[in-house]
Amino acid sequence: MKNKINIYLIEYAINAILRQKYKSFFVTTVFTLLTFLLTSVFFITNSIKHELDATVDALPQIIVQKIKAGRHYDIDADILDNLLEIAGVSDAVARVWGYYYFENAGVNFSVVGVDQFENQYKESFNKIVKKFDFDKLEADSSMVVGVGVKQIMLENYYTKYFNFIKPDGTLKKVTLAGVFDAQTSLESNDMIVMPKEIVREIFDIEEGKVTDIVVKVANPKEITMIASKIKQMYPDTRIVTSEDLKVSYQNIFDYKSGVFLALFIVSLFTFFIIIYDKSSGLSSEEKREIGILKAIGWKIDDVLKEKFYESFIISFFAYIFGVISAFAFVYIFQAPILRNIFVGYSQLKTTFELPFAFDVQTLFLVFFLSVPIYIAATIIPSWKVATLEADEVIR
Amino acid sequence: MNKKSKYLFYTFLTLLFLLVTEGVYLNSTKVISGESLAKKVAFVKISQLPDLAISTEATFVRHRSLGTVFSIYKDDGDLREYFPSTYAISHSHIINKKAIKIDNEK
Amino acid sequence: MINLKNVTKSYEINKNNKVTALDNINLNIKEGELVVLKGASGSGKSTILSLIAALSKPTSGEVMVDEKQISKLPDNFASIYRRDNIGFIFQKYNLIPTLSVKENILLPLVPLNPDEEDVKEKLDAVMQRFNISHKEDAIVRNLSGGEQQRVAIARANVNNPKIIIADEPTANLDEKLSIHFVEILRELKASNKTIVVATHDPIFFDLDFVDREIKVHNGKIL
Repeated sequence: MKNKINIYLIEYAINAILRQKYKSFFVTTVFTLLTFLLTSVFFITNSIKHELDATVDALPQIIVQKIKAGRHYDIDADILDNLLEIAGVSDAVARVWGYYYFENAGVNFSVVGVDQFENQYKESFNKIVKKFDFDKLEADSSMVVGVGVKQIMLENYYTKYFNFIKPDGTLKKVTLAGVFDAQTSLESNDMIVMPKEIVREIFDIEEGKVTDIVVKVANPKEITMIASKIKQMYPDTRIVTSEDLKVSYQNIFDYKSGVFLALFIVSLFTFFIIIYDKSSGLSSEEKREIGILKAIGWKIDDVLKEKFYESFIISFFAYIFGVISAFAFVYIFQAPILRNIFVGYSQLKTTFELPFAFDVQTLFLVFFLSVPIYIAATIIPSWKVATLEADEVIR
Repeated sequence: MNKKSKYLFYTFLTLLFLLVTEGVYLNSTKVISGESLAKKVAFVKISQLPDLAISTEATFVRHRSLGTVFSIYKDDGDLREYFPSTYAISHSHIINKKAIKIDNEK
Repeated sequence: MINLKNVTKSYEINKNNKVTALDNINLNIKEGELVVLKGASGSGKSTILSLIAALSKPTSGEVMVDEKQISKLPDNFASIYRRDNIGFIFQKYNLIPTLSVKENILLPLVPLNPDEEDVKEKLDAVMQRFNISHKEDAIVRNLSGGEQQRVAIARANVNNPKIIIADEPTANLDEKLSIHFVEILRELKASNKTIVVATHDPIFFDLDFVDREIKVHNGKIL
């Protein structure tokens, strides 16, 4: 009795599994599918969060929005000067942006206005737009668009320019100056960047109004304090800080509701049907087998050990196989079908690659939700039978 | 070790090996590269808008961190259904945010 | 060696219905004896075997084996006692039909986690002794009745137990095989094992190597 692991017991467990080939196969398959589905969904959400976290620090420190009756309204540009006077504020920029609904294609574009004379843009633009002429952007009415926008335009026969329909019904022609690099598609796919003036024209936003204001703070530790100051000065505004954005990114998926709730409930339901079947007692054949083993000298511990091996082999195999399949499905095949839950019915489809983000927590979570519970469900009824008098069970 | 135990052991070993290989492969090929990351950050610096263009139909899903209560409860018939993405991507929990410490000294 | 003192065994069928399988019996079996328990079905002979094998506990009284009281053993110790001392040949053999001959015979050894050589030695010895070596990899359910019986006997002997218990061993056998079993029994008796056989098959009566025949009737020893 040198080794701690009893190979003979494991062999017996394997034989027991093979004895009920079809049942074992069915249970393993269902478990694998469940693990696969759950893990895949977690992998997709983790990837999206990872992508979000990668760029979170480039977001504005403070955003000032005007909210009236729960609705967003354009804010006065005047308040910019008052904001700049607050101690600790290093810069305040008025933003003009919005959604343009292109009826022909049934898609929404996010249109963002940028100031013309900002050098910071030049460097960034050159990095992410191929063959770009920054000066052209200012000179003509030009725009830079995301890959998805370019595609939609092409599909609607717009190649070098696009006609925006203004609120008064007239058209505004804007030439295409460049396309954002495909590697930024998750961020830029439906975006259009153009000079502020053009955006104002397209959305008919008056000179004195802007969509919102972005405030930069010299000392990041003072963000909260300055935010509350601004709120005091302008009570009808909503102040969104970079901290809020980070929190918002954390909460992007509410696992307690929506699609996840449906998925988890269905999984739990399936899972518990299997568990119920196992724990509602063993078949008379299984009971007899335990009785025989006890009669020929097996202790309760030996019986339970064997049952443990049996259930562990099935559940662990299903778990590993499910995880391997999920990895391949999500990261190699880019989660076909499943990703549509997140993409929705958008006409403007983003061809994005889900980045690999290794999260041990997910793997542990799925493991502990499946393997130990199945093992317990197998051992408990066996224990009940094993503690009976062997004679009773055999007869 | 008996035949069946051997098969089981080697099967598990193979699966674990496959898992590790997959992990290593994905880690080296599918992670966001430095170049890619720089581009993404550069873009966000220009646009200064949050959230990803995964689901572009619904405005509250698109820039959800800046969404308002109104945009969630829109009734506009013009807009087509955007389920299920709005059931997967939840609204931002800062939607009803008031001030930080509004009960200030009077 | 085996001592049953004032043993009573009752079963409760339901709240108001009790069946007394054994009624205050006393039985003494010496080491190396071959005892045949005679009696019709339901007379209580199988119950005596269960008690000796610690498969069940008496309602009252004591069961002693080698001066040790086995009737009060906790479950795990009862299993160990069976493993080390008892070789039980069941009426229906109680083999695992989907396992091979070797795997079935190996079963009593499994919890001990013995060395491979040790296992091989014991298996080979017992399979040869009961003439089943040539079928060691055959699946039990594909064997004939006689072969299955030999497997059951081999399994009962693999641990070299002191006591062999056989419950209606010839119930499912034809005459030829029954005679064969009797010969095996003779052999086991020659190796100084204590043997208790419960049967109503007349082939066991008036055998020369049987030490005693005990009649059991309605839960009493006559």
